[in-house]
Amino acid sequence: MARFFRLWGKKRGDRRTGSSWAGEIGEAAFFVALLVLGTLLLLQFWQGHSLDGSADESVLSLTFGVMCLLLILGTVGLVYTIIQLRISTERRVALARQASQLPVRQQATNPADLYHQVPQDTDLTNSPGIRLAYRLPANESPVWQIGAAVTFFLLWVTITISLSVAVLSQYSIDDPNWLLMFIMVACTVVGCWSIFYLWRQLRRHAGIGPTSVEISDHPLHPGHEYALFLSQAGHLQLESFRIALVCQESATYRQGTDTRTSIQPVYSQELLYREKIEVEAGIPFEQDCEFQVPLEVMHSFQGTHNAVQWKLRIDVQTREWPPFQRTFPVVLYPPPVRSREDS
Amino acid sequence: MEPLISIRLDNPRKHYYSGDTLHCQHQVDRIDPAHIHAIEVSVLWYTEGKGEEDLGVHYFERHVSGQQTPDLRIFKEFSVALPMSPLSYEGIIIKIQWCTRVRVFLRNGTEHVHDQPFLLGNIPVAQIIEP
Repeated sequence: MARFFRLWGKKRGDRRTGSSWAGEIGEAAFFVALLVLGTLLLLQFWQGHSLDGSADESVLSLTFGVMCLLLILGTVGLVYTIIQLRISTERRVALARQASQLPVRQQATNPADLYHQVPQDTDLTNSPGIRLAYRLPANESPVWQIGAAVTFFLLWVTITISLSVAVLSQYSIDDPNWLLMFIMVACTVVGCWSIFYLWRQLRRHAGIGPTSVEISDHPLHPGHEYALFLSQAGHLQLESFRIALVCQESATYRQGTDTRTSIQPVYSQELLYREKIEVEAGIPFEQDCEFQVPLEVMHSFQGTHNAVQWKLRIDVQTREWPPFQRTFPVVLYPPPVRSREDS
Repeated sequence: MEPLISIRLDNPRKHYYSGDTLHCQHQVDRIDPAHIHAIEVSVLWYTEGKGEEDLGVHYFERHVSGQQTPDLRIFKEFSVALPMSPLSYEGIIIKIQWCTRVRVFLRNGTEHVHDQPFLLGNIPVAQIIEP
């Protein structure tokens, strides 16, 4: 019996156990039920309202709104389910692609139409370098971390001061409110922690300093050679400084109600390694290097849920700070067209 | 009885490169033509692996049974130039698979699908490395 009729099915993303046909029927039945319920309630509401007009205006509009919502949800859901019912995934994707296509004249000049699913590099090449063609943007910006710390600090201090003023103004030695006192002390402790955290972030940002990477050309092509210029500012004693060209796979999937992303490195090529470097304030550590992109490697790929990402990764170990890492995304194009005879 | 769907690619090794022209012949058999409602033929890629599936359609055509085409079982063929990307890829947690797919819709509401996979490009199998 359990083989033919299951109370529960397992679902992971769009994939599920059991019959998809039964699922579609169930979905359609649910929306039909909503539609029928909305219609019946609305009819009953109109009949009742026409007989007895003494009800409160706000209650009436709320009831009317809920019924209309049921009706709309049921109608939209049912239409959507019917459209999905007999359309294959390929046809849906083909229709979506057809709808989003630009005029032919524009397509020919746009590399995005030539290289499908390869991410565009406009955000990576809009900043010119000082020595080389482009200055690559870093993946992680300290501004967000510091901005979040400042926002939290300001909000928490405002709350703590307001609470303290209110509690202390009503303080009485004979009958102290211990609960409010305890909350005030707890807020003060969290406020002190937020000051310490903000100070640590600011000190770290000022001490480590920005890392800058410039590249001679972009996007990257397999087999081509590129020059890099690296700069690390701050006041640091570097134990080691390493830069590598890395490739990783990234897969996003749903697990229950959570969305998770799994990362798997698949390629790493060390481009530069230096040890025992002293960086003085105002005199950044600068280094040139060259590298060649390997021939037979997967190009950058960006799907809705899956990606193959290439990046330049800098790993730094210092005496004063915990090890830190900075990454600079790059785009690698597929190899040029070649015939079967060439291969 | 299930219909017999045949797909034949011009390259017996089923290995193509970007810019190559894929020539495909397909036919549906072992079914009464009156039972067939429509046939869809597509050249597409899809992902397999740990993540949710991504899918892209490069070529698509749909034939619906009607007065002009009463018998959809007849031998059909098409040619299409293959794109620059995405190339076939066998990664660790992501795989990109290209295929020619024929989907047959029957009048009783059932569907039958047959895929003919092929390789696009020459990307070697990915290796696990330490992060």
